[in-house]
Amino acid sequence: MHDEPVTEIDVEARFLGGVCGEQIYAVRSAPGDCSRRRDCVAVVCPPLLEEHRWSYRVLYRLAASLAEAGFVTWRFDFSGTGNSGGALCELDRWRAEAQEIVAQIVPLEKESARLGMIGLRLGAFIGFHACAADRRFATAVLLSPILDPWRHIRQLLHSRVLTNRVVQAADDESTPDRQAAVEKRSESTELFGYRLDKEFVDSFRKARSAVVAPHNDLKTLVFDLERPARATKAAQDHWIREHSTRGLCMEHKAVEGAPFWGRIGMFDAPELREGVLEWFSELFPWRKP
Amino acid sequence: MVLGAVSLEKTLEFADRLIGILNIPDDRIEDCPVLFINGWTGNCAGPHRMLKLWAKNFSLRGNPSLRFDFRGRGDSPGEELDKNIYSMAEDTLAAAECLRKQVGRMPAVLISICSGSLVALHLVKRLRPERMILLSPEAELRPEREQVARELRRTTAYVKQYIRKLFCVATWRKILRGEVHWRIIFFGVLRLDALGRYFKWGVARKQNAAPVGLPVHSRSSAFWLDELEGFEGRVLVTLGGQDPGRDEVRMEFGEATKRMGADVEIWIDPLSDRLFTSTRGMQRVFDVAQQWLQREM
Repeated sequence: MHDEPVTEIDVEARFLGGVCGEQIYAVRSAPGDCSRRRDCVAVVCPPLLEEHRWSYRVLYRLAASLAEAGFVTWRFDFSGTGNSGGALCELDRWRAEAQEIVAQIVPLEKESARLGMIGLRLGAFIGFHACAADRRFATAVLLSPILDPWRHIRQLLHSRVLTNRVVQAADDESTPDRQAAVEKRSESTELFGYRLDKEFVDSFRKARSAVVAPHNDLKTLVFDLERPARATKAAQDHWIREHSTRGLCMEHKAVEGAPFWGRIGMFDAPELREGVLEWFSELFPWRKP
Repeated sequence: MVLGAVSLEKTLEFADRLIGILNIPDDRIEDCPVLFINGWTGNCAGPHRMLKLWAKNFSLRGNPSLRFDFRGRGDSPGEELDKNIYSMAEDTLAAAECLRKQVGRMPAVLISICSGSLVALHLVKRLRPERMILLSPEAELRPEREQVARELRRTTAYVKQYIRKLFCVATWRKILRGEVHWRIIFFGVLRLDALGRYFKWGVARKQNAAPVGLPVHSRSSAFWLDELEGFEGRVLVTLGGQDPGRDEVRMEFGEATKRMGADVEIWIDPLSDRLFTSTRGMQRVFDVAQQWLQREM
């Protein structure tokens, strides 16, 4: 049944409440026809900083494709990013925020619906920590996840310092001295026009080796878009091994594709979109009437 | 100027299901609606949330504002590659009408960034704003050959940088450790794929995504700037001193000022790049714009 895709989808943007009262921008994509919905609500956790802007349209398309396949999909911006209010905060608060968002959207959807988490880059890290122990979540799809947030921030700072050296003399504090100070003493700095305060940097440092204890039924897919760099691959192997020893059912898949979160103007990642769609469709087939 | 008003944001849907965000001050102190016009890419929050923060600041000063996603961008429906300057202009007109319905007045101030400035110039006679603030405007939409020339100039400059780096020990250490991101260098910095598309080289990678969209309408700068003829409002152009194209833009707008007698003020922040990518740079340009508006209105 329901072999043909849904032709009309509803996209609705609204503000939800954050943990500290800030307005959280959220967008719901759903099949226009209520009878064409599957028993799953997908929650998309976006990446942070400029990766958020660069990957925005790709996640829009992913949500649209899921909606066409019958999945209600929620996307939201973490506080301090995108259209949400507030400022950048610690990783733990973002995790709590993701849980808060889930708590707010669940009553809006069908009661029996199970949940699926899709996270990209740092959003995957935060989303996985937020949903791993929640039994309402049946699956987590981690798209090129950041496994060591501290390393990620250091890489970004390093690339920013290089960029400043090569193309501009901006006054955004991304100097080698500043980077060293941040790494040694957890000082505040800024990156791509975002202020990273001391607590923010500290939370990344502490989260570097966090291992999650997910519930037994959480089916996890680690989905990479390209062959990861050697260092990333080692971290990923270690991460998967750590979780496998804890009995986590985790699959790994990789497809060819450009890292769309790292450059402006890429609107779609078809291989990724189809891969996620296939995973969700297998896990949540249409129910017989 | 009264500060401390509460800023409320609400989402709107208008025209062909375009998504917009309206900032409404709790207490309307100044009746000066602001319409934000985003650039070619990204969503209505703007680069590093610049437009969102500006909207909030205007709202705290009592000015309602609307920012929106063009069709094919952000959360608005539509095909990404169908977007062009004229579709952007249509969307902007719809947004202005939406703002009028919400606050009872057409936008008094247009604030645009990058190619959104071409839209602002294109619509100046129809929207008749009192003031326009153009953040790092495009001087023109270049014909393809000029784009290629610009890409080549850019790539040449980076190649020189990398040749210099080859004489550093640290570079070789990175190469030997396998820490060099060749893909980023070749495709992200040197943009060999972009040049490959122009010259039909074999280096153009198989793209897994729609190609980077470029405005399809090549017009001379005069075409857009001539719209300023007869415009009675005033214009502030802000540029980043580290933007390689700043002199070109300054020259174009300077000539237009003389040609049309338009009232254009140009301000350059020597420390900022094209998108004012630093919290201090962003604050500086906001302060300048705010002071200019206060002075002019």
